[in-house]
Amino acid sequence: MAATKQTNPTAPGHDCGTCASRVELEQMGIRLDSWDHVVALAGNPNTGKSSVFNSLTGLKQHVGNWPGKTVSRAEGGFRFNGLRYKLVDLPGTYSLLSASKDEEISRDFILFGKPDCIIVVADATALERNLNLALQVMEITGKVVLCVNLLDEAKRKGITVDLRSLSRDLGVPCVGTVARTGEGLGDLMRVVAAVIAGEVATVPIRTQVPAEVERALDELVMMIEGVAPGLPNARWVACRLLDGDLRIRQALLSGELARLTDRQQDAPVAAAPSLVSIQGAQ
Amino acid sequence: MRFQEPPELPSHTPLPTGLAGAAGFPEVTVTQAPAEAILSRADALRRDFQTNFRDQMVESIYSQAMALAARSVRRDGNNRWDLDQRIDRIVTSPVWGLPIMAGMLAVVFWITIVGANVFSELLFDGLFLVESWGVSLFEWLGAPWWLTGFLWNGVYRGLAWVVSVMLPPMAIFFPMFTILEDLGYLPRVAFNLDWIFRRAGAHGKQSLTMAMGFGCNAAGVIATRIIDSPRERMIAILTNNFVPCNGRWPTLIMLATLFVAAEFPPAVASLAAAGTLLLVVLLGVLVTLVVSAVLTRTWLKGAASAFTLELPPYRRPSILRILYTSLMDRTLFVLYRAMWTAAPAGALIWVLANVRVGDESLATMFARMLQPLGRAIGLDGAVMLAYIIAIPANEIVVPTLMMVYAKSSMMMQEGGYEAIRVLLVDQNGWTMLTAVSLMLFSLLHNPCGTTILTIWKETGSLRWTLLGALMPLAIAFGVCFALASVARLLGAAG
Amino acid sequence: MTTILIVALVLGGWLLYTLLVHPSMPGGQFLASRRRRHERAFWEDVLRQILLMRQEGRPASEEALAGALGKSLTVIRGVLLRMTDHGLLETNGPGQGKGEGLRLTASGERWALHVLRAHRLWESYLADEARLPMERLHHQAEQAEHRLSEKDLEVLDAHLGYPLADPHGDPIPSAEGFLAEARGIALQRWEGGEAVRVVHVEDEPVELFEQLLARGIRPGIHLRLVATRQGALEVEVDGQKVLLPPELLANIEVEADVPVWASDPSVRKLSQLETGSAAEVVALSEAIRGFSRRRLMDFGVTRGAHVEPVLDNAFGDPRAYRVRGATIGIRNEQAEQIWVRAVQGHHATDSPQNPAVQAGAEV
Repeated sequence: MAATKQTNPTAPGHDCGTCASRVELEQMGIRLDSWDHVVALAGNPNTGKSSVFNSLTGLKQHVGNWPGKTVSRAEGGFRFNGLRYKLVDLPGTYSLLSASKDEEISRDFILFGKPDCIIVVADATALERNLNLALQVMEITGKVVLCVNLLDEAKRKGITVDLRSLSRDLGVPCVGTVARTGEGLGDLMRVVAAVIAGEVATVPIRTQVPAEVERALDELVMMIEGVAPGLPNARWVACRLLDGDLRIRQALLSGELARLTDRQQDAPVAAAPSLVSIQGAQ
Repeated sequence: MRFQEPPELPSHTPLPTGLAGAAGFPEVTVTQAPAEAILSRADALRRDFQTNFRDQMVESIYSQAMALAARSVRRDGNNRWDLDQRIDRIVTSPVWGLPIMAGMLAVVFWITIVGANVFSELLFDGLFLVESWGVSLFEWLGAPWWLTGFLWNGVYRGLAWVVSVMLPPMAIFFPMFTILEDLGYLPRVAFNLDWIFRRAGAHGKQSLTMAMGFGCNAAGVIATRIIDSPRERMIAILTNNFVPCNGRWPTLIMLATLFVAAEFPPAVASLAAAGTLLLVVLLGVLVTLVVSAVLTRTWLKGAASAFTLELPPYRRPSILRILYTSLMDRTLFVLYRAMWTAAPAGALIWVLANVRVGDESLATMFARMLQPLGRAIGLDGAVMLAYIIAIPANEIVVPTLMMVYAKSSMMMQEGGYEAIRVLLVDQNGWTMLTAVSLMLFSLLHNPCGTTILTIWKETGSLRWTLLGALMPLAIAFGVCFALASVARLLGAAG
Repeated sequence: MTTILIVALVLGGWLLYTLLVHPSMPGGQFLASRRRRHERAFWEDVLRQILLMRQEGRPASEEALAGALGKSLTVIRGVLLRMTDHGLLETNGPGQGKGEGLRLTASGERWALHVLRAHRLWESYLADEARLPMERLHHQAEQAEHRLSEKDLEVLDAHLGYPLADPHGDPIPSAEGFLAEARGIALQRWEGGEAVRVVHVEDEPVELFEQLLARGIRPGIHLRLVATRQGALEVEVDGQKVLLPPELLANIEVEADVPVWASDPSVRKLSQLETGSAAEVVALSEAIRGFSRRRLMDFGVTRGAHVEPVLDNAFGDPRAYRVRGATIGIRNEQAEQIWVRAVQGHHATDSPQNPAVQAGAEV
């Protein structure tokens, strides 16, 4: 594995117990005492998400429930290039829109927990269905790496995925893996580390919507930016308000959303956004 | 009459059941005028849309996903594709689907029962050897008899019994179950059986939670998390008890062997025993469906929700992962909880057997007091007492029963089927009717303490937990009472 | 002796009275709160009824209210008086005392809208999530509407995804009190084209409602008007001809907004598709609501999706379909509500390789 250049000020041992998002994470039951970065694993059910999780964490994992919920959660830790990562396995969901318990947990973790990076695991044999979730996650945050898993199965079925073109189209790095054998996971982690460090700039694609919806979104985005200036996912928030998401409504009313942006300014400013070519994406 | 109370505007009343999931939102404390303006603007915009906003949004995302996939995915043939479908056409086929499923279930049971027997005996011998060492050690140390008895013959023996009865079948059943799960076969079971469950107002996935219940009802209750609809999940939780868990298998196997198989020539005896077990299981499934249907029409009103279930491609299971999840998550988890309930039960049994009132032990006295209740349902007081003591863990029913019958001072090891037959039939007058009644009671009675605790944790409601505990008990008493009454009438007439 | 008895009786009676009936004692408080609840429910029924009458353009008179609520005129007069005292109602014009021109005040209207909102949202909840049969919704909602607070409704509304109309097609008032106008025209008075869309089916009286349901008439379906026969109307529902007697016509409201595909003969139900054939989704019927709809769409069963029935089980229900690269089991009950158009079965592709659809990468 090639060593990645360290530009991240969050060096090992850096105490971040006071950062606001850390408090939020702790409320979600994540113990942060000895981790440098928190990475979340999202994906549809049956995509080999847990294989990715197991291969990355080995036996260093903890299984329990989400606080106050009857939804199981797995989290684990591993080291990569001298940094300690905490990996949180989000419930497998097909979407983030249906407001089932699983989806609420995933959505809340991605939005309010603000993990340093989100790996969206996708099944290479049913990419279309899996992109549905990836596109939704990318509306919330740009810190996304798409892990196109089950490449072996795809190969047997005569399916090839052009990862380079997919990365370009999506605006986030895509890495092909066979999690069962561990193939490609090193590349995956290298890309994740680069995204966290800001070495790879991600410019996630926005979903194209009918003109009628676009107009409504634009109007709301302007209003939202008045209340929460600098909110990176104002468009997604507008979308959720139009859909009528009670949790987001209340976050807006209580000022929780506005506080999310404060936190953003605390975070280290990414290196100058240069479109770094994505290695490891072959 | 004039009413002076100004009728306050809509008050805060608790949300109706079924909505609990939606209610867990934090109170809104800070309100900002601009934020409210955004919300009311959003509401207004939503109302003005020509078509439903959600529909438009999902359509947009999917058409984008379709376009992206079209640009980067290339298909060359579709060789393996057809293999998946070919397997599916067989395992979900109108003709072969159900027989294949029943066959698989039978094989899983057979392996579990046969394999568990071997390991159970080994564990038994090992753990009871440790007990005798412990007793010797305490005697050598000069500990009083009651301390030795309480700790080793009470607490430890309860634990040892539960571990040796429960661990082997679970350690065999759960990995096999996980293999089927990992292979991707289980969703096909739900697909095959959904129609039947829908008729009872339940969900096809309930069949999977029931399959899990064969291993352990507590695990089955946790498995109901896969059911989305709260109503159908509740049905699955409340009825999971009607599939006999492996804590109840020993009782059922013993009765089937001692009473039913004994009526047949030795050549087909084991088949007859297996057939009896199958009948009991089918009866349990039937009761599950009937109770589900009744719940659907009473406390849990409503029609079945939509069944949309993915049938994922078949995948080669990874053995390490299976061992890990099935042993760590399921077996050890269940065993851990069971041990916490079995230890105090062991202590209680020892106390009952050793505290004497007059010239009889507490156990004998309670059994005498429970005699009329037991008689009414075709059983006797000793069985009732055994079931009360075994509430924490059903595995200890048989040993407790033996202890009460033999007036012994500790739970007994089974001394071979012949010895049990002599004890039950010759000394305590058991008949075929008693055996059938006990099998029914064992199948239908209340869930064990671990399961009740799990129901409480999963539902978060005392009311549903009580219903989940008391409804099966009422059904068990009702059915056994009816059977006993019919038998008595026939006996009187004949 | 007698004296003692009388004294005891009097004292006992007094004790009973204070304990059970007097409003400051526990029993009395219980009775009073029960009475208050009953009274409140009654008030709310009156408010909702007046609002509905206004919506329908009928004058809200004492007699009409008494008829609609099944109470005597005296009772109605009493309650109207009390409600007027509380500033919920006002009477204007010369008809005072006779109840003509009964109007809701601002606070009365707000409350009435709340009750209507509670009723219709609860009906939606029962139909979409609890999936109660349509004919039982109304009765259940009649009771629930008096129990639900504004906060409950906010949660419920969001949980259901802010539905605009209840399962009968009646508009649901928004939290701010906005109530949309009913869009449809009664089928009786319909004079437009022969293709119509049902937007509302009246749920009272229940007998007529059941007859309508039995004929397959529900909001969201498309009707083709075939012929009139002695006041009765022959219509085509899902390709089957159904006769609607005159008494039912007033309870169906329709509009002309029929999509183009509704008259396309090649459009069929997904459940009618043969195993091994292929089709493209044209629309999801409005009858699929709530969680079922969200779930289906999550799986990619949206307009334009390519679907192929691939598996039938022993009972023929549910069937499995290939949708967007995955195999999904769907019950026939839902598949009957999904409209598809058959396409040439190009087997290998789940996503048609359509170069015209370009990814809009606006990076």
